[in-house]
Amino acid sequence: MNVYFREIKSHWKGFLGWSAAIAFTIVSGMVKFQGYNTASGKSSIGELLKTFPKPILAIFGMSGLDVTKMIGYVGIMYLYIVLIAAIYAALAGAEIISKEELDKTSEFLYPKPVSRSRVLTEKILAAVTYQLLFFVVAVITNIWIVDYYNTGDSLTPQVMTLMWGVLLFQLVSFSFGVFFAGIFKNPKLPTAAVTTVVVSSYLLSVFIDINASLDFLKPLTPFQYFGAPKIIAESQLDPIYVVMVLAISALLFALTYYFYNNRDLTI
Amino acid sequence: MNIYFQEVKNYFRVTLIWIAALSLMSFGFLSMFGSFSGDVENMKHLLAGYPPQVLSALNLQVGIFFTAIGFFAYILTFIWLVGAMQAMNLGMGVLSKEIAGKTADFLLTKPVTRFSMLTQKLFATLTLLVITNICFVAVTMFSVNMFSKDPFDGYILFLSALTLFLVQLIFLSLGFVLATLIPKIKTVLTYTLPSVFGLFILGLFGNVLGNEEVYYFTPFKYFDVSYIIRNSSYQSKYLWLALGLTLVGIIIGYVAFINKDIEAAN
Repeated sequence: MNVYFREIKSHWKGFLGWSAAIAFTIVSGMVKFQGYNTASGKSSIGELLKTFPKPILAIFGMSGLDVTKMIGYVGIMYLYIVLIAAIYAALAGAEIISKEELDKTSEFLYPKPVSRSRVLTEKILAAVTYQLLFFVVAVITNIWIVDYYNTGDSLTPQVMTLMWGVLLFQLVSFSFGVFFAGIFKNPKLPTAAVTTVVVSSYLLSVFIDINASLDFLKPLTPFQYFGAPKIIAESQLDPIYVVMVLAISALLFALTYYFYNNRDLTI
Repeated sequence: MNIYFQEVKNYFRVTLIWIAALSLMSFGFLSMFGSFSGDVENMKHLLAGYPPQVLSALNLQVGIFFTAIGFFAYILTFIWLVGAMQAMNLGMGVLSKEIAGKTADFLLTKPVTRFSMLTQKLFATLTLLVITNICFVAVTMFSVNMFSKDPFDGYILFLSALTLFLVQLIFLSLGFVLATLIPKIKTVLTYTLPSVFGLFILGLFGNVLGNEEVYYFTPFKYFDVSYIIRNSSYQSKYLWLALGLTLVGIIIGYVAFINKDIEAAN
């Protein structure tokens, strides 16, 4: 367990920074919602917005969400939480594996009497520990702040459903990060590759929102099938896609072990 | 001039990829304008029925919104996002790579002053950004020409597309500053991604809520295409703010880098 504790120690600060960022985003977003909600004559705008043409709402980031209702607003915040969480997970996954090659410490670590799989497992566990802690911070902050400002029925179950979506985003981004770090020989590539995946799936989703003729691309981007309007409308995550994401992540982890055990490390 | 040419060469391939990405976004998005403008009459009709206060609250000018330039304005935010990543990676990478790659002792013992070295690196990054923007503006002008049936004002489109360069300048200098202030940089993306996305999200916040005061804090809000369309110019306070921030960043970068204690490789 030496590698595990070593990684826990060295990623502590990063975790604190990201947790502070997510908590700040959630809280400040909700505080502003209060100002917005009281200023604009409430539901009349909500009703009007519902009748707006879809591409226009997409452009304002409100498709399928009623911003004047608490849950609609939580849905808008969901996108920001997801973006932050996905980036953190992607970078964390790529970095924790490729750091030995980047720091040129592989020669030190890998001659030790531990197998590569063992090192990989401990590193992944360390990163997953922080991902889960980060998730807990996000969940607690979000539930607390929604509860604090909410005047109607409790929204905790709905918020929690959305948060499971965040966790799946974390999982899939993380596994892509680990996967790229497992297969690429150049230790600088994994972060760039996983960033490209996250950013382009976000942009693809934006394109799909605008143009209905791209709807057939929806299965390619989790920003669509785990998008807030869909989750809120169905009050659950689409089980088919949940299974799909779990399967993809499992496959990526398996491939990581396979390739990482069989490749020459960059020295 | 050796360092200048070396850096331009080093980053040339990556720059080509960025150019391809930016051009593809612009071209791909504008190619959807045809199907979007198909329903325009319908939507215009619909929107005419809404009270003007609602439309102004959303900052929605019906006349502008359905033109090719108005449509382009929407994707521009995301082009800034990608362009900002490119510029900040470049600015941060070009300064931190010697230390990360352990070539600092090699380079710094050569008979060039740090000032000259930094200047060459700065100009190398500026060259690459200028090339990027020439390609981007050209592709955008071409695409609008191709996909818009109605005539459009080329100067306004040019000004709108050129905002990419201004946004990139700010992020380039931000990268410069962070590269000199952060002691040990392994991968620049670990710093550039959170910074760029943080500011981007802040901009989106402002969008939903219409908080003007947030705008000063995020370069993603300095340039507003509907303002450009109405006035055929940038909003001068934000233009100066952008240029001022860039300059301040570069000056801080110079001072900090020249005085920095650079660790020798071991």
